[in-house]
Amino acid sequence: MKRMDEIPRSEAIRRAVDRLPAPPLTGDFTARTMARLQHAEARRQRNERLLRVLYGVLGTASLVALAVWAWWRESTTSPLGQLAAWWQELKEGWSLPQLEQHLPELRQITLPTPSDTGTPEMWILAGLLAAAGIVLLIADLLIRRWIASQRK
Amino acid sequence: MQQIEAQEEREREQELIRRILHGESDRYAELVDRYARMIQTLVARIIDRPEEAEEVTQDVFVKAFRQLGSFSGRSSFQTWIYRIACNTALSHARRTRRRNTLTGIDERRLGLLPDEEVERLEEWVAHERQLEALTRAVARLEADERALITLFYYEERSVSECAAILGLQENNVKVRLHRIRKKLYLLVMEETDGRDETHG
Repeated sequence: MKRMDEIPRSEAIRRAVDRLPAPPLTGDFTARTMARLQHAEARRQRNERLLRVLYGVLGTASLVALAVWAWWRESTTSPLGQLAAWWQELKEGWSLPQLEQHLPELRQITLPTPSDTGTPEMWILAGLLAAAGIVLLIADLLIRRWIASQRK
Repeated sequence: MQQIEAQEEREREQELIRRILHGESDRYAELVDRYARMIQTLVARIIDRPEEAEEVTQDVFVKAFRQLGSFSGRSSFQTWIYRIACNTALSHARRTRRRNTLTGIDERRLGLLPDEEVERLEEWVAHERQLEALTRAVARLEADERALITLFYYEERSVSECAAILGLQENNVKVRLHRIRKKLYLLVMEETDGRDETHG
């Protein structure tokens, strides 16, 4: 019995493969290939630039949105925010008797001090900032991988 | 002597690749000129639509250019670009696969077929009509099978080169070649039996 590792050459199969249709290359193949390469390279660089700009815009926008949201949350829940709301109402036309009634309360209002950073709101804010940082890092990683795959 | 020339050629090619990677990208045209015809011949025999071979060959050179930085020089540039060509052509063949290329040969029949009988294929294909039948049988093979027999029988590459190009183990290449020969034999027999019955 013939051993498997002895693979004989076959003239019949060689001739059959030779007969399979194989159209010749056109004369300007190299020139067209080089032009396509240049075009593809230019497109890749343009896409890469666009992605970097998009990444910058998205990153900045998300940071701004986070800051606005944090400010809004702070302004509605913190003592400082309550003071701002009271001031707004005052500007819109509070009468003096009402002002007198509320004056004693003003003395009890304390401004935020560094020890206030331990309040739950601040922890949430810190957590959100960290989460935003992680999201941006992941987005950066994904975009870099996409750019690398475009190069292949 | 031939080995020294091959080594010198390999060094020249590596120097050319270094220059391309260092910014002389126009010199890539030299590599395209050198290998385009070979790649086109290989690709046309692997894909189901030979008329699209030129486009696929272009894809091969675009991919090779992008991956040129990863060419380590461990194998020759020819083996490296052949590997890209086979992968690109096989992906193209998978996308554009024609239903009628399926051979539908029962695996059990391949196993039962004695090796001695398959060897008759050589003498049997001496006539033009039988050679045509064998060509049609080759065209009906799967794309990866055509890639293998093109490399081994048509380009007369060694089993180890075929394995390196197709990313297979050498033993796997041998088993596949053995199996393809049997498959071709059965396909040719099926076709000629059918024809004889029709004419008879």
